[in-house]
Amino acid sequence: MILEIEGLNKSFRSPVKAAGLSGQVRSLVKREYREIRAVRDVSFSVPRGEMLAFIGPNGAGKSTTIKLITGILYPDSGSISVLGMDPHRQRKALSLRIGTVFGQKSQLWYHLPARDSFDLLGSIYNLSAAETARRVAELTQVFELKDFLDQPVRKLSLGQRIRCEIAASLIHSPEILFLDEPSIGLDVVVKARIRDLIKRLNEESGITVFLTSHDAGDIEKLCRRVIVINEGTAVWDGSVKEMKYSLLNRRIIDVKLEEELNLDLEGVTVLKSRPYSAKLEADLNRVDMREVMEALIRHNTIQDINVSTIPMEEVIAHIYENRTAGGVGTWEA
Amino acid sequence: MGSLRKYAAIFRYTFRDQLAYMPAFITGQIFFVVIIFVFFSLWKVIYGTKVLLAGLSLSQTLWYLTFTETVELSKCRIFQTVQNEIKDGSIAYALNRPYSYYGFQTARAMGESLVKLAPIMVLGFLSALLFVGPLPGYLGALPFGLILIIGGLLLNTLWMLNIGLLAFWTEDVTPFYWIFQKLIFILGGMFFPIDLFPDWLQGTARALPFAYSAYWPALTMVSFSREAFLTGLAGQGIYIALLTLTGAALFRGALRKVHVQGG
Amino acid sequence: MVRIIGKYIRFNLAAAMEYRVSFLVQVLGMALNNSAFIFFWLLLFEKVGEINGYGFREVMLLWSLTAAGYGINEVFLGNGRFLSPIIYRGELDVYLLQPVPLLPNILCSRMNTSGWGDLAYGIVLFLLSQELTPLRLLLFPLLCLLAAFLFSAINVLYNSLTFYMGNAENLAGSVYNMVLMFATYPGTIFKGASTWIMHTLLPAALVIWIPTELILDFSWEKGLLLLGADGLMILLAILLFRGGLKRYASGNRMGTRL
Repeated sequence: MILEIEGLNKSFRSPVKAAGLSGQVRSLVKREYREIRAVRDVSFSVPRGEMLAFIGPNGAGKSTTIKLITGILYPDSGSISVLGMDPHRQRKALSLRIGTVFGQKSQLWYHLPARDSFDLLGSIYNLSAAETARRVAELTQVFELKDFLDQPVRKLSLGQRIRCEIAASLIHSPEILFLDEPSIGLDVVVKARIRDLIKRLNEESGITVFLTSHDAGDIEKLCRRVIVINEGTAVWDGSVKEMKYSLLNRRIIDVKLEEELNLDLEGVTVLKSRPYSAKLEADLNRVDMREVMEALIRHNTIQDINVSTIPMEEVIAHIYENRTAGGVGTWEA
Repeated sequence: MGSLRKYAAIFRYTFRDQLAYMPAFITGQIFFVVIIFVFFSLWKVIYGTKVLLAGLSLSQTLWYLTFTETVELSKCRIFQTVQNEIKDGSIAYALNRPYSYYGFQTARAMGESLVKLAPIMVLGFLSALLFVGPLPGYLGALPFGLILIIGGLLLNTLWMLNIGLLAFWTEDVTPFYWIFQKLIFILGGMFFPIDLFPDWLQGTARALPFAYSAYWPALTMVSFSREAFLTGLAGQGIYIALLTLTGAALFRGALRKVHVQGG
Repeated sequence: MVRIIGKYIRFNLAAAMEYRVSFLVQVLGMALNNSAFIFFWLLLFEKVGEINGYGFREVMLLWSLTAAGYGINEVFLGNGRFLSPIIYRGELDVYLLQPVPLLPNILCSRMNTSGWGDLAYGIVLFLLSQELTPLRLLLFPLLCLLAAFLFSAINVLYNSLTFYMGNAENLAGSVYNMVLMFATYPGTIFKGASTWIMHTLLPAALVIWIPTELILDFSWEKGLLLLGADGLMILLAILLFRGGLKRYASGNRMGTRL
């Protein structure tokens, strides 16, 4: 295991703003704090070479967890071991072996060409000038940076910048790469491109990738395993495929008919019904697919039928909307 | 009359907008009290056992410096706003509104300055009172002094507007502001009453426009005389007129430039 | 670390050179700005001769030390002033993720270009206004460096309060400016409780007044005492910052390195 986390907890204190003048005066003397439990008793482990998606709504505790793992924050309790190290005690030693891209925090110097930032990072990560040059050449090739490597970063497009950003985080050949929302604000084409790059990187160098994203495509296309975090608690840890089935064990059925739909079955909701066509949703926890098919065929004359799983975006949207839902297994829609 | 109401409204809204920043502004003025404290410490040593220096007592000198600082700190750095609006081109939108850009900016800056002025006056009063005791004749001089202080603020505003307009011609106008500020600082008598200047410099310094932003208002407050007040008022009137004319000329020149460039 | 600091300096200069005119204007403007005070003191000393042991030349020495020390701090340790926003906006993350000593990394990564004007002004003023002896030529750069470290310690100390009590940006900024102002006046004009404050909470005495006395009249005893006091101040700043890191809460703001 390259990463092991056990019973992790982290709370933040934020001052409560008292209302009114008397409240403000009172808060000068004695401040009241509200405690926010950002991460509650989170445990998981990651084997070397895995691509793991870490998802959850804004404020669920994803970033806090990543920051705890990378040694930025001190945990209140629990143990973290990354590459056999304790992140906040061995922060410097660890930072030589991990790479991080926080989509919202740049490592690049705004007014200078990315090449200069790479050069500086080479020194920061103890690479010799020759090593840095070799590494920059490699990354330039992999991420196709040649055309804009010597332009000031402020003149790059967002897509070019994020490619430089990821390349910058790889300058010291880290063993784990943390990507915090790398695709934020990118268009579809650029997103696909970045995904390909990350995938290739993982296949070729065996780097472990730890990814947070709101983007369903990122998760589905890149990762086999997903951890869902909500209100500081890990509510799902398993394969992406399984999540789709067990968290939302539903099918969408599109049918074309010769007359109006005639169906009344427990567990099946009619989403749309028009003469000659209908859209149904079947909840497979309550009804068997075979029963649905039989009922459809028995009462209707069917011309065409299409059964599909719920798209990943909707799975994620669903998870985000049900913010207070309990742990794995008790998930009811 | 209608046009006057317009500028009164602009003035009123800036005034109210500025009130929202009041608490932060007041805590920011601790620095003002500290400056007065440093002046007090310095001049106390300079006076030593002497009662008068060039006709001014220690108490008068400290009050004098409190008033020149008051004008300085109430200033609104309008040249930055003007420079930014010229650089990002938003001045073009202001040009086809139904008011004069110059008048609008003056009203705005004065609104901001006057909001700052009130608490600074109070704070200055309290600090000077604490260090050297009351200023004889304060209340009697106040109405006249206030007129000159506000006149000084208007003078400063016009200077800064004109400096801001230079942005049509140069990359960065901030150095012009620095030079202007240092001229007030030294020749305007902001840090050092002109009465203490060497004789050969006194006459010139009193007549230059910079003295009307700092020296004359402060002198009227600490050592009131009808002559001082009227000299100050007349000088301010003349220089306000001159600066407005210069501003109008700058603006016309700038407009011609904008039209030529199709800006 | 030395190599990295060298690169920071080079890159910051290169970034400043992207706006060459603005750079020159700022440097020259700052030097001009400072020069105005020469006239103030000239006018004053023409009237009064001497102020508690300080004449024109001594005050110019205060100014040389202050401008050069402040300039070094602004140019080479320029990020100290911005520590509060760095903390409350969560921008410390970038530095925490790098395998380099944290404080030097943060402090050196920014250069405030107008500081070059102060530095140049301080050096030129020293060379022109003082009687130069070998000892003074040796002491001046050392004491400027020490002053710069102390300015930096003041920045770190007060800005680190942001970890403990919320945004301390205004407080720290005021402290920095007050120390700077006190430093350029003869220390001997202050009496009573205020002098205690200026040796401790607002240590203008440690930054400038005592170094000035050392240049005018060197004594080992005073020099070592100053070193001890400075060391204590710097240690305090480091400890407060280190302690604060445990409370660091990060954050999610957009931003690039400027």
